[in-house]
Amino acid sequence: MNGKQNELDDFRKNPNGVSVGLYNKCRPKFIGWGKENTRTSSHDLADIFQNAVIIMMLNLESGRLTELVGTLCTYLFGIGKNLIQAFRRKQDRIGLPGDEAFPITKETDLGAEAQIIADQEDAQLWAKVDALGEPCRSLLALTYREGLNSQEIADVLGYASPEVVRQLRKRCLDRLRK
Amino acid sequence: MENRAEYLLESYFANTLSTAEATELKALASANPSVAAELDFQKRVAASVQSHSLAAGIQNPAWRAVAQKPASAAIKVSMLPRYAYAAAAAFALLVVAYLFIMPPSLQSIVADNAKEYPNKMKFKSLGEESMTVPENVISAFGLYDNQNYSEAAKALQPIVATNSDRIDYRFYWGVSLVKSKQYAAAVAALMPVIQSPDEMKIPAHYYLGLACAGTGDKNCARQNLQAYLDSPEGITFRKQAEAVLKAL
Repeated sequence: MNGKQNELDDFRKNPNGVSVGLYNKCRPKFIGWGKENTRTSSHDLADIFQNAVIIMMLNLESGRLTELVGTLCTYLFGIGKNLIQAFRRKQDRIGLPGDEAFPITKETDLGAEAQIIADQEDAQLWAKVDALGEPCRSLLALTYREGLNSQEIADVLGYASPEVVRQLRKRCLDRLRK
Repeated sequence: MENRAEYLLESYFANTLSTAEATELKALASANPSVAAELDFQKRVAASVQSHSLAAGIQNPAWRAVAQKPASAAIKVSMLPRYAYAAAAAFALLVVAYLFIMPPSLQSIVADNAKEYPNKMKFKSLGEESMTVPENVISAFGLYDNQNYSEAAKALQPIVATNSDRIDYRFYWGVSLVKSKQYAAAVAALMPVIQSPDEMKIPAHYYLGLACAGTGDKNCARQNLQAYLDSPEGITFRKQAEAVLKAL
């Protein structure tokens, strides 16, 4: 077993200890790189790094991540770069003509009663998404919350191709409709 | 569905649509009901996942705890050398500002986070109440609807006293007291609501939490705000409840 593989085993045994190392050593490098190469604030980069760590854990837990090609920090950089791309696009997004109700936020003022109904519908649908479990939950969150395209999702979740992601998303949405 | 529509939908949610493609998708959705339905469905899915963290999918509790680790400490360490002077200047500014502007009190945080509760009494909608509603009740809820909470609280007090079985009246009385910043009275008004099996119980936890915070009873505030947040129905005022809980 090589040293890189040990990083994953170390994380399984001591998640706190390894994550402290990641936050102290890897995150500053990621934020430094992100500030230098993208128009992204430290605060946003810290959030993105946090999401990269979460995706790493989801991949590890689901068995999609079984071995590292580089170090754990390099792996997080790979995920983080895809998340930054999606984040930047979200900042510059183009909506549909006349589609003021989008982007997808809860900031649009619907009025208290309509807001309550909308929140309840969102909560019911989220319960169904949650019940789908992995990998649907992560795939749908990355698609609709983080705004990643199929290629980026294939990269961060470790799928062979964007087509695999599209087929999987279609199946997840079909199950959600039932 | 056509591949083109699927491509445009994916591009829409991945924010990669060009202006021409956005127009094309809009036209396609107008002309083809199945595309419009799919767009609408995916928008609903998108809205439902907005407020949920990716970390919710982690099953291992220890890993989930790590995933929620506060993200501030390491940034401060790494940014300190570069921003030391800026931080010192900002600190000096804060000290000066503090001399002139007091930090927000708990009561002002409570007031800022006390959201309106819509009047859901059936008699508000025509034709849904078979029994005759007394004029004083209609009048009191009229004040409530007009957000004249101080007067609504005064008008509702005798109504609650004479209708001790009406938990709904009591709830709106409590909300009026919270909205008019009469926190001690609101605690007394709302306490029976959270002990009842009434459907108002969950939002009552939120308003009682605010009222307790307003009186300075932090334990009571924490318990009730947490009870609201722990409830699956505690959705509408979640952001406000979390803000007050954080300030306690």
